[in-house]
Amino acid sequence: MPVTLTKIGIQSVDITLAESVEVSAKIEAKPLLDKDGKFADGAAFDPTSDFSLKGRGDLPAGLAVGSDGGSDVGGLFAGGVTLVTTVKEMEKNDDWNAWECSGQNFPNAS
Amino acid sequence: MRTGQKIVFVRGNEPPLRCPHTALIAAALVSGARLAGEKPFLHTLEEVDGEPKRTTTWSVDGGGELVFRPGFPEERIDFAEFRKRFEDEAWCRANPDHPIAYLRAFAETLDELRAQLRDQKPAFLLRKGKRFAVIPQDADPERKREILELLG
Repeated sequence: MPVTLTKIGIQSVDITLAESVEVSAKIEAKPLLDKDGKFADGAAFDPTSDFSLKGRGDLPAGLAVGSDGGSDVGGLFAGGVTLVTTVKEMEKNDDWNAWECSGQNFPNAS
Repeated sequence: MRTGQKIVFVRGNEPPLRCPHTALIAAALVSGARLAGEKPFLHTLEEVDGEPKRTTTWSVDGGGELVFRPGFPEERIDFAEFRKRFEDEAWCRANPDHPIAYLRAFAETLDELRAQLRDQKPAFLLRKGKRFAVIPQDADPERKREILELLG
């Protein structure tokens, strides 16, 4: 694509509260057996993390930023590619807007 | 943020005006990359062990494609010609694949980003267990109070 000479607009997040943060790490282990059928070596492939978040306010970008406190959350979004599998936003007249999202993070992807 | 979207997070801990990621984002944008969603930038301050911890996060659309077409012949020009082309927006628009057009667009975009970032105050990041709140400094005091109550 040739150079883009358009004006860029950035907006930051509004007030947001994450009420529920669930993260689970998954890894696929591939053991290698020797000729006698004994365990010879093993390697872990394709580590991924599933996440599920619920909150109030506006759906924020860069969720869980700076999250070094939550042991599970820390590093989840630090790198790689995150694939958003579900997003739900709810508007209410008498309460905060609410949002939910879930997906997977692939830390080794680029 | 939308279903099926791939997002790449670019995180840093320096003030955005000094952070090299700002130049990276500007370079990517002029090359055709897209930011993810309407609010792709987050700048927060959090107190960790009594010290403020700053984090900047850019959310970039990971599904976007950057294509480069270096279809221009080798040429030798002097500074006067370089300046003439660099300062001529019409020439840059007419030659969008030329390196001078990229340099001009990069300079403008970085300038624009920095101007917008200069006007943004970092938000407060408060954490309680796995719950966290991101609260802009200029948020209404009533809303701040409400969200702090929700955080518990």
